[in-house]
Amino acid sequence: VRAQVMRASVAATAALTLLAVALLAPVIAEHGSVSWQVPALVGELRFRIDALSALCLALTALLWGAAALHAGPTLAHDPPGRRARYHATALATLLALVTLFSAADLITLYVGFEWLGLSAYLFVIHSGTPAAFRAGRTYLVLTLAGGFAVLTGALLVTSMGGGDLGVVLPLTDADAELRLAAALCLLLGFGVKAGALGLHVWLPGAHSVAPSSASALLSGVMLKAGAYGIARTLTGGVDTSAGTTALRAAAAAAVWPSQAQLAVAVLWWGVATMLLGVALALRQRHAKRLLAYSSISQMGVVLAALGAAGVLGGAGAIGWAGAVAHVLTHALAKALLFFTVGAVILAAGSAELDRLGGLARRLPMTFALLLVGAGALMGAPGTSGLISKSVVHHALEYSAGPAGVATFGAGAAAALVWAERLFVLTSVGTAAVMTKLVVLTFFGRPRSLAAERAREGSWALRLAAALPAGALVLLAVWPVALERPLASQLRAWGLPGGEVGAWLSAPLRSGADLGAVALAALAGVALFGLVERSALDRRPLPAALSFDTGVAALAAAWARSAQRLRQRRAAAQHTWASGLGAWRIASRWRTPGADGGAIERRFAQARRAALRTDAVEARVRVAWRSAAVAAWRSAHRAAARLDASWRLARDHAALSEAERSELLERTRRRIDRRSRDIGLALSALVAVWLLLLAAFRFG
Amino acid sequence: MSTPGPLWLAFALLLAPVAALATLAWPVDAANPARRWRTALLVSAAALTLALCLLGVAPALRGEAATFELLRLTPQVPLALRADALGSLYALSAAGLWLLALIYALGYLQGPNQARTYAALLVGLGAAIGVAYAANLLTFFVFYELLSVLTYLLVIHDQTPRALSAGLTYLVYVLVGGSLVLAGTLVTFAQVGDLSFQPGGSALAFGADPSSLTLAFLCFLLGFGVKAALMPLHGWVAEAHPAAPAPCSALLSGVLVAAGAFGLLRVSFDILGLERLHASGLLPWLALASGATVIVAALRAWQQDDLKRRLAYSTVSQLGYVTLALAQAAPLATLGALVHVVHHAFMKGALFFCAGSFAHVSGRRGMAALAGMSKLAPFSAAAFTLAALGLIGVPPLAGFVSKWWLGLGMLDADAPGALVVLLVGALLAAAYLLPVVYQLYLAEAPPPSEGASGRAHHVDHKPGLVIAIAAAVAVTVLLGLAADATGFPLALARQAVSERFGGG
Repeated sequence: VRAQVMRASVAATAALTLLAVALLAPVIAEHGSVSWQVPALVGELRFRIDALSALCLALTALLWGAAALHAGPTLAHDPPGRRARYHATALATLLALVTLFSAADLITLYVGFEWLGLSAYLFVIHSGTPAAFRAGRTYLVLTLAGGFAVLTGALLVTSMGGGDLGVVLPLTDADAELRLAAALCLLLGFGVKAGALGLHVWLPGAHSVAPSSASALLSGVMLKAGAYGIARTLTGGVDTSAGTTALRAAAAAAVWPSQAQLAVAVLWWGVATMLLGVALALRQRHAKRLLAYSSISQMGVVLAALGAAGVLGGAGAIGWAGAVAHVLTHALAKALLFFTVGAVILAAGSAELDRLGGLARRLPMTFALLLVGAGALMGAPGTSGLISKSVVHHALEYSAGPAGVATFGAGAAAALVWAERLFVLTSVGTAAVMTKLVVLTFFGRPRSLAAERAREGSWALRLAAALPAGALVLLAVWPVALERPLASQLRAWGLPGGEVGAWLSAPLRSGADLGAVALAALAGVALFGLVERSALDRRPLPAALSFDTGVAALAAAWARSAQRLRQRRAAAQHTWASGLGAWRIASRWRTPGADGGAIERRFAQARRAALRTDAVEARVRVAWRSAAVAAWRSAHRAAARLDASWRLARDHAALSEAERSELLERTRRRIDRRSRDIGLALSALVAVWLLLLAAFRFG
Repeated sequence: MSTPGPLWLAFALLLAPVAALATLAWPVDAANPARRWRTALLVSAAALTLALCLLGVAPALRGEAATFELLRLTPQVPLALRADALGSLYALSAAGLWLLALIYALGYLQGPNQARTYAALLVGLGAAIGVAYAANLLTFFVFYELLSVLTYLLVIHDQTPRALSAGLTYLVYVLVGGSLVLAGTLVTFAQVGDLSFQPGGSALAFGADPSSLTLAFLCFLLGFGVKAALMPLHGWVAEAHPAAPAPCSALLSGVLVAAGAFGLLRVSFDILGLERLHASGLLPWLALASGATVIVAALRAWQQDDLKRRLAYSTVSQLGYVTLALAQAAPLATLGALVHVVHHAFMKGALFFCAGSFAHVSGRRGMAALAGMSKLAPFSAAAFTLAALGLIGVPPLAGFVSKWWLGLGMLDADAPGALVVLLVGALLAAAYLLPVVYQLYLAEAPPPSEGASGRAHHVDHKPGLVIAIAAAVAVTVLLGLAADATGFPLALARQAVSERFGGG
C-alpha cells in the first residue's frame, strides 16, 4: 500500500509539474521568465523559470510519469518495502530536479544538485546485489566529490558578489584567478554528473545495475542536470535585466577570465567523450551497458555543442539550439530505449545480447517502439534526431569557419575542422551501435530458451515507451513546440533568435543533411557487419590500446624525462662546482699572500663535491629506470592475464554455459575495476594538481 | 555597577541548581510515587531556564545587554552577569541542548547513581549559563571551572573501571587547562587591571605591555585549547565521550567542548581585541593547528570502530572549524564560527542520542553491531541519517548554513587554503558518517534474536528518548530551513559580529 501511495504521488507531482509548466508557458512567452523567492536557508531560495527551465521541467515530468508506469511491471517481483523505497526515491529525485531546473541562483541549484545525487544512490543499489553495491560505491564517491566541487564553485562565485544565474559578475582584474578556479570547479562538478570523459567511470556500472525504469531516468534526465549546470555556468554572465542587445561574447567576457578558451576546452572534452563513449559502446555485449556507454557518447555531443556555442560567441545561437534540441532528443530516445530494453529483459529474462535474438516476431510492439528510439539517435527523418544532429553538425562546422578563425586564428580553427570530422565518425559509430542493439535483439534465431518463449508483457510497458516515442515524433512534425521556447531563451540571452525556425526545419528539406544521415547510417551498418564478422567486440583490447599499456607508457615517458632533467641538473651542478673552484683559484691568485697548497685543496674539494653529486644522480637514475621497467612488466603481465582469461572464456568449449558466462563476467569486472581505478587515480592526480596550483596561486 | 540589574539573569543562573538541591531530597527508587514529581521538577527547571534565556534574546538583538551584579569578590572585579548577543547565543544552545539531554536522560539513565547525575546535570546547567552570561573574565573562570568539575560526575556515571579511568584522564587534562586559563587571567589582570568583557577588547584602553599580553594569549590558547580539543591537546575527548552515558556525551560535545571555543572567542575579541590578536603573531599558528586538527581528527574518526569514539573525533574535527575561523579574525568567518558552534551542538546531540539508543538495542559497541539497525530501531536510524547528512553539510540542513558562512568567511578573509581544509573536512565527514548509515540500512543484518527485538520495541517507544531525538532533529532541520529568521542563532551571531567588527 505504501508503495502504491508513493507511486501515485510521483505521478501526481509529475502531472502537477506539467500543468504548472503549461500554465506558466504564456507568461514566460510574454515576460521571458517567472521568478519567486522563498525565505529559507541562507537568506532565501530564489527560483526563476525561463524557457529553458520550462522545457527541462516538461521533459522531466513527462519521463517521470512514464517511468512510474513502467515501474509497475518492472518491480513486480520485488518485496513491497523495496518497491516503496524505489517510489520514494523517484519522488525525491523528481523534487530535486524540479528545484534544480527552476533555480535562479547557484545556491538553489546546488540544493537540488546535492539531493539529486544523494537520492539517486538508492536507484543504483536497488537490487541489493554485491555488483549493485560496488557500482553504488563508485557512484557515491564521485557524486560527493562532484557536489563539493560545485559547492566550492558556488562559494567562490558568491564571494565575488555573483551567484545569480542571470547576472553579470562585477569585473575586477584581481579576481581573474579566482574566477578561473570557480569556473573549473563548476565545470568539474557538473562534468561528473554529465558523465564527461575521465569523470564517467561511475556511469556504466550505475546505469546497468539500476532497474530499467530507473536507468531511463538516470540516463534520460539526470545526466542532463550536469549539462544544464554547464550551460548555466557558461551563460552565467548574460545580462538579462538590462535587456541590452550586447552580444553574448562581450557580456560573457566579463564573467570568466577567457570565455572562449573555456568553451574550446569544453568542446574538445565533448569530442573526446563522444568518441570514447561510442567506441566502448560498440564493444558491449550487454544491452544496458551498451546503452549506458552510448549515453556517455551522446552527452559528449551535447558538451561539444555547448562548447561550439561558446566558441561562436555572438553567433553562438545555433550551438545553443543544437545543444538544447539534442538534450531533448537524447533524453526522450534514451528513456525510450531503456523502457523497451526493460520490456525485453522482462520478456526474455536477460540483457545479454548473446541470449536474445529473433524477438521481432515475438515482441512486435516493443520492436517498433525501440526502432523509433534507435532511429532518433541515428538521426532518422520523422524523429527529432534528424533536426538535433543536423543543427549540432552545423554548429561544429561554423565554429571551424570564419567565426572560429576570428576568435582563435586560422591554425586553431583548422583544428576545429577535426572536431566536425570526429563528430561525423561518432555518428557512424552511433549508427553501428544502434544496429547492433536492434539486430542482435530482434533478428536471427533466439539464442536462449527464454527468448524463444518471449511474449509481450503488460500494456503499461508499451504505454510508458509510447509516451517518449510520441514526443520524439511530435517534435519532428511540429517543430514550433521547440522553436518558440528556444527563440525566447536566445533572445533572453541577448542572441538573435529569429533564425531558429529556419534551422529546425532546414534538415528535412536539405539534401546534404539527409544524405549525411543516410551515409552515416549505411557506414554504421557496414561497421557493425565488420565488427560482428570479425568478432572484434569479443576480443580483448590489443595491448597497444589498453589502459594499462597507456599508463605504463606514460609512466616510462615521465621517468625518462625526469631522468633527463636530473642528468641536465647534475651536469649543471658539475659545471657550477668546477666553475666555483676555478673562480676561487683565480680569486686566491689575485689575493696577495695566498698559498698554493690551499688553492689546490679547495679545487680538489670542489671537484669531489661535484663527483659526489654525480654518484647520487646516477643511483637515482638507476632506481628510476628499474621502476619504469617494473611498471612496464606489471602492465604487460596484467594485459597477458586478462588476455588469457578472455581466451579461456571464449575458446574453452569444455566449459559449461554457466561457467563460461561466470568467467566472462569475472573478466569483464576485472577490466572494469582496473579502468575505474585508473580513472579514479587520474582524477585524483588532477585534483591534487589543481589543489597544489590553487595553493600556489592563492596560498 | 552598584545597582543589581534585571532579576531574570539571576534566576536563569540559580534556578536549576536550586532545583537540583530539591531533587536530592527525593530518594531514587523505581517504586517511589514521588518519581513522577521529580521528573516534572527536573524538566520544568530546565525548560524555565531555557525560557529565561529566550527572554534575553530580544534586548540582546537590539544591542542592549542586561547586566546583573551577583556579589563583589574583590574590590576591582565583581561577580557579574551580562546578557549580550554573544552570550545569549551560547546560553541558548547550552540551555536548549541541556533540556533535550535531560529529557533523554530521564528515559535512558539507569542504576544507583542517577540522583547524583541528575543533580550534577542541573547544577551544570547553571554553570553553563554562568559561562555564557559572564560579564568578566573572573566570573567566566569561576563558572568554567565549576562546569569542568561537574562534568567529571557525568563522565563517571557508570562507575565502571573504564569510566573511572576515562574520568581521571578527563580531570587531569581539564584541570591543567583550567590552571593555564587562570595563569592567563592573572597576567591579563596584572597588565590591564580590568577583566570585564568589552566588545572590541578591554585591553586596548590601557598601555599594557604587548609581549605580556601575547604571553597571556598563549596561556589562553593552550588552556582553552584543551577544552576545545585543539590537537595535540585533545587526548581526553576520545576517552571521555565513549565512557559517558549518551545524553552526557551529547552535552560534552555540544556544550563543554564548545565552551573552550567560546572562551577563546570571548578572550580574543572582548579582552585582547583585534589589534592585539594580529600583533601577537599567534594567529597563523592557531590556523595551522586548527587546520591540522580538522583533517587529522577526521581521518582518526574514519578509523574508529566504536560509534561514540567516531563521533567524539568528529567533534574534535568540527570544533577545529571554529578555531580555524577564529584564527582568520575576520567578520564573516567569525559569523560562521558562532553559527557553527550552535548548529553543531544540536546535530551532534542528535547523533549521540541516536548512538545511545543503538547501543541500548544491540547491547554492543562497534560498527558490526549496527547492521540491520534500521529494522530494530527505524525511528532512531532515520534521525541519525538526517543528522549525519546535516553534519556533512547537505542543504537544506543546519550544517550547510554554518559551512556556507564559514566558507564565505574564509574567502572573505582571503584564505583559500582554509577553504580547502573546510571542504576536505566536509568530504571526510561524509567518509566517516556515511558508512554508519550504510551499516544501519543496507548491511546484512544478523538473525534477530527474541530478546533484541523486544528491547528494540522498547527503545523506539520510550517517550523520553523519542522526544529528545525528534526535537534535536527538528531543530537541525529548522536551523537549516529557517536559518535567517529573526531570533535564530544567525541573527544573534550577526549582532555579536557587528558589535565586534562594526557594521559586519
